[in-house]
Amino acid sequence: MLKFTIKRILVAIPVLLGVTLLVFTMLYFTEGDPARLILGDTATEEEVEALREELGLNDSFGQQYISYLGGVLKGDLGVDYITGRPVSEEVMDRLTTTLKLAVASIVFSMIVAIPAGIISAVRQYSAVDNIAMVIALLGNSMPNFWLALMLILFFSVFLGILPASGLYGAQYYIMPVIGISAGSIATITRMTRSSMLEVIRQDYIRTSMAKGLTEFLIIVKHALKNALIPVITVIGIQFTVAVGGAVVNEQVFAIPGLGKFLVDAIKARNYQVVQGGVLVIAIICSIVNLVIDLLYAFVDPRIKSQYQKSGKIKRIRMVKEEG
Amino acid sequence: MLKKVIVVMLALVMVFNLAACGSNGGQEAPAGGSDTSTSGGSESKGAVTPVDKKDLLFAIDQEPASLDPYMHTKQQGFTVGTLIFETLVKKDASGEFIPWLATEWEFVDDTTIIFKLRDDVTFHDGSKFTAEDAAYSLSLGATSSFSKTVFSSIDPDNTKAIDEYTLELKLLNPYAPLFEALSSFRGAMLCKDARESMGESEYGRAPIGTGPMKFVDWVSGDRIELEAHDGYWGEKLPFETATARIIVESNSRSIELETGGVDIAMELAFSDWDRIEENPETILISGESQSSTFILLNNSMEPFNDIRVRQALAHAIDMQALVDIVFQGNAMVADSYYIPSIIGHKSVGPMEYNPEKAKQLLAEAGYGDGLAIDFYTYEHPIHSVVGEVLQSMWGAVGVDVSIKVVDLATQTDLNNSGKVSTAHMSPAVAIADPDAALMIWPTWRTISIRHNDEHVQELLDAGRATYDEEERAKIYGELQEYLFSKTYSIPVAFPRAAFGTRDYIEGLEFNAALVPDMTTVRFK
Repeated sequence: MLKFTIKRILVAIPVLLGVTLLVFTMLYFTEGDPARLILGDTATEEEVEALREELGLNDSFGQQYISYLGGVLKGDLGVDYITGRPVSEEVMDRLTTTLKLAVASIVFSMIVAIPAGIISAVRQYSAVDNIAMVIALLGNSMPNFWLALMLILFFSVFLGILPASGLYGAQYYIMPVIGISAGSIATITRMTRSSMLEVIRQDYIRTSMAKGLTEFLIIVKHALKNALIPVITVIGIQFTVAVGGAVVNEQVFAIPGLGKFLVDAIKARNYQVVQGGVLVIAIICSIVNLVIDLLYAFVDPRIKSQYQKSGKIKRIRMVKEEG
Repeated sequence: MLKKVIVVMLALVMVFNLAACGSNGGQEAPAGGSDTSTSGGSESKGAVTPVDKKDLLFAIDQEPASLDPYMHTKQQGFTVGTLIFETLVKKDASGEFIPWLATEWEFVDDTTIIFKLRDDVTFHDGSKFTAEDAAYSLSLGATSSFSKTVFSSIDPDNTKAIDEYTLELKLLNPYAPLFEALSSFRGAMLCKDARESMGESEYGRAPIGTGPMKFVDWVSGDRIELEAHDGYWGEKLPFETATARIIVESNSRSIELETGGVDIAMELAFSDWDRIEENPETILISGESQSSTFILLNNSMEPFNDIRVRQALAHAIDMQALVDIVFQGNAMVADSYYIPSIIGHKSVGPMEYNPEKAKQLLAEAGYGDGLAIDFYTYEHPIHSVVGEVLQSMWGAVGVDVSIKVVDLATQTDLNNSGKVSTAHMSPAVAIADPDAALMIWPTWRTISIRHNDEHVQELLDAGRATYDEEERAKIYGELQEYLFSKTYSIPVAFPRAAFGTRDYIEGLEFNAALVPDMTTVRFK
């Protein structure tokens, strides 16, 4: 397991390098001059040129990329062109908020969606199943922006029981979490249902029933664990979406999150912020993927033995080669 | 296994609770932020200030890049700055310039002004405000790329402190808008020592001024917090803390105002005005903003280098209809190149709506069979609608308009490299003076208007250097007539703007530059 983990971490390094190169290349060739945007229309060409020089934007592609990469290796993500603050500080300010919200949203999604998916599968075609599937369909099809505004209108304006925006305490989380979770709940519910349906039709479940085990025990002990693998995958994907893609909810609920910050940085051609932000999100994605792979092993002993086996096989090969 | 499941489920619930509650420790709610709110419900108490209210919460629509007035051009930064900084002079309700940090001033000649400064003013760090700080601030204004449009006439090398409280302001040339510029928050007084020791970036993030409130904290993307400056020389404000919340989404801003989440909301969207006005708990403060909008024509590019084409395009627009559609009744049709309340405004337009004349002029210019042009716009609620309306109106006279939608960065780049053919623009006007209001016209400007007409520059220079108001108005009147005769651009609208306040707020005046003086806010 340890070897597997180390290997996965090493594999992430070229992935992250690839991400930096890709983002850097796209930004380099995108139209729009950060210096002109910072100084505005009233600046003369000379002033804009001087700022370009100061920001290093006149250097060649290779020089700029190597200089950026050198900084990253030393832990320096560069400077925000607009505020003059280190990108690492700007990104970390937003990342904390985004992670809190993403964790809260994904936990809420799991609490709602996994039981809903199980009940839907076990009571297939019942009223409960139909209701759950209609809600899932709505959750997937409702535009985020619309749902967020409807939540504000209902809970803040009409009922007056929740604050409309900001993130200053527990109750401030309720509406953004519902807004971000709506899509995840729908996806996780549907995935849990279809995965459970597949599992509960297998022979060993029938055998368990024949042995006289209770339905609850069969579902929870024997079926759910085997049905969880695809659900865990979907949860991982939904978490990474919540980290970088909650832009609309961040805008409507006035939450200083990473997604909105990155979109604004792209619009402002704030290159260093975009690169730093995307790199951080890529690192989070890599970590989440690793955690998911490890969870597979935790949930399914067959996968765990495969991980251990691959380690053993390698060790045997190495011993043989050395011998 | 069952036990494990129960433990996992309990752990999930705990993590959720921790995630939700954990924020309490990390982020404090802005003072006075509503946890529960009323909106026209049974708890409505009319214009009664909440008991013991000692905080002011206002919502701004964008995060400022900096709070240093010489390092940005955004009204949101200046609005927060009205509480932190002060100016040498102020403008009263009648438009007269009154002493503020300067007690008196005297023109030695057209380019030398002596200011006597107050001797009882301290900065937030406890240091004394002196003529050195004033000289430093205004010299910075003259050289900073962000502020030199209004301060470029100041001579930074010869502006100096004569003694501790006497400032000699030297100009490179006579500059009539000087006092208008000095009274705006673009000319605020900075603490020289603090700025030099902190560096411009850090000072812009945690500024030190002489105003009634001092900087406390800036939570990126969320809020800026201020508290009362105990050593303030003037009248204390009725609130001990002030928080500027950054709420970009206009719907959310107005809802926060309606539900009592903020006391004041800046820059309300047209669609929210009626609701705020009709709500008994909120007040709409609206007025004519000092910026105007216009259709840019690239005069260095065919076919716009032909005056007949430019005039044909102007005659083809039913301007009243366009303004009504785009601004939803919240703008006047522009009759000139800047708003009527600025000195020297002369009504010269709009161009008569006459599609037949437009067709005739196009035929004379050799485009009787039609003409194809590009209109540039970006993701903007007003500019893109103007493009659609123009596509229809210009289409009716045989001009085929292709709308090019780019993003703001690309449009800015294209515009400043002379590649935009036509576009709708609404540049901010820094100060209420014709020199600033006509800032798109100097020949040195790089935007795509590119008229290269030296007569325009001569009149601009003359207006800028003339102190006599009557003479100055005459010069600008001539300039507006000349610009209209040349149709280098097509003026469109003088839009209105609005702020909203809770009903217990008073004293906040509408400001045409959209930088309301927050020090005038009082609780009823």
